[in-house]
Amino acid sequence: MAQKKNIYNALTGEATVVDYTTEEQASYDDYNSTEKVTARKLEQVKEIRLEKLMETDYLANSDVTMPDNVKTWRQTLRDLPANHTDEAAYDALLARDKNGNLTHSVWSKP
Amino acid sequence: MSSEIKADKWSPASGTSATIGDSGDTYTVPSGATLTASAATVNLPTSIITGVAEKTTLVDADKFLISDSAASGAFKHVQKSNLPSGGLQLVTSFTPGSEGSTIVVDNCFTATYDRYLVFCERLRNGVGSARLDVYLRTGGSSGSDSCNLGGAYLGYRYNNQYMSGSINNSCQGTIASNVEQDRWYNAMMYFIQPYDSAYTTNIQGQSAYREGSTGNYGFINFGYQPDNTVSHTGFAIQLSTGTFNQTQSTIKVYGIVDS
Repeated sequence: MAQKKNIYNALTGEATVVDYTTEEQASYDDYNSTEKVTARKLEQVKEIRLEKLMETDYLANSDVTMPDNVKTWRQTLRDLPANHTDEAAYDALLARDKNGNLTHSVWSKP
Repeated sequence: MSSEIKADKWSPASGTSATIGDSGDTYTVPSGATLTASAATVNLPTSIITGVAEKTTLVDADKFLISDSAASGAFKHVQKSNLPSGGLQLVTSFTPGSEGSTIVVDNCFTATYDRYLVFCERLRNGVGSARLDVYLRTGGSSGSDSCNLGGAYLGYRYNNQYMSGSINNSCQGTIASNVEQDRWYNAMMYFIQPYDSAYTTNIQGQSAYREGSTGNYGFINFGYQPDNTVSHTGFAIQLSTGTFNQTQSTIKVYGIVDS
């Protein structure tokens, strides 16, 4: 289905709705291709992973001891891209509840 | 003149009120005569304002009657040209009647103003993590896209995270990145010298929204310039994915007037 463009002429007050041109639609479709959408979702997963890792980075300091379960959790986070390789898996990782909280258990710090 | 009354003072025959003539009569004070009521109370009909012709467009020579606070309330007039005139003039307002991925406003930039303020209000995306871009238009009513923007955006969101991106020789500049689905958000932009082809157009502004991927709230500032000095007559905002999922989005364009 072609994307729509709402065009308003401020001089005449005329409003029209037109389909994207072939070129515009091709650009839109390319941006929204499965490959690129999947790649962007992987980037989002990595972004969240970075935030989660940073939350426990202080436990890696020499004057504190990182609990084993935190070590295991951090390694699980690092392994996310290797163990999740398709869009459905990324969707599950990025799922949020109605309050915007991530719902996948992998994000929960032990 | 059939008769003439000569008296130094008129007074009611009884009581404290009297009437001059009857309805329909006309009394004329001749040119050169003076009717003084400087310290009296004068009741005038409201029709002295509502009963006269309306003027819909003020020009510089038009005058307003004022009471001069610096001269014991003396009557004076002020010319329209001397009124403070700086501010925002609404150029146009557009609310699309149907959902779409792009909203174009053509012919909003003219020689009338050098600077414009644009509000993109009540935006809401139908698909999560969509990016909202702006681009310039040329050619007036037969507008076409102008594709050579360069610039960047930089923002900050909850949890001490920055958001950033940049473009070079691109059609679109990002004004909101990775916006959450079904969440209202707004953006504002200044367009500086968009119409005058003697100068380079500037687009700069800010948006605030909730991110799609992180669920964090934040804002970004952005600034873009085209790599030419074309006369731009309009602009567009465009979603990278999906449509604006409602028809309450409004684009308001104001021209900025010097004071």
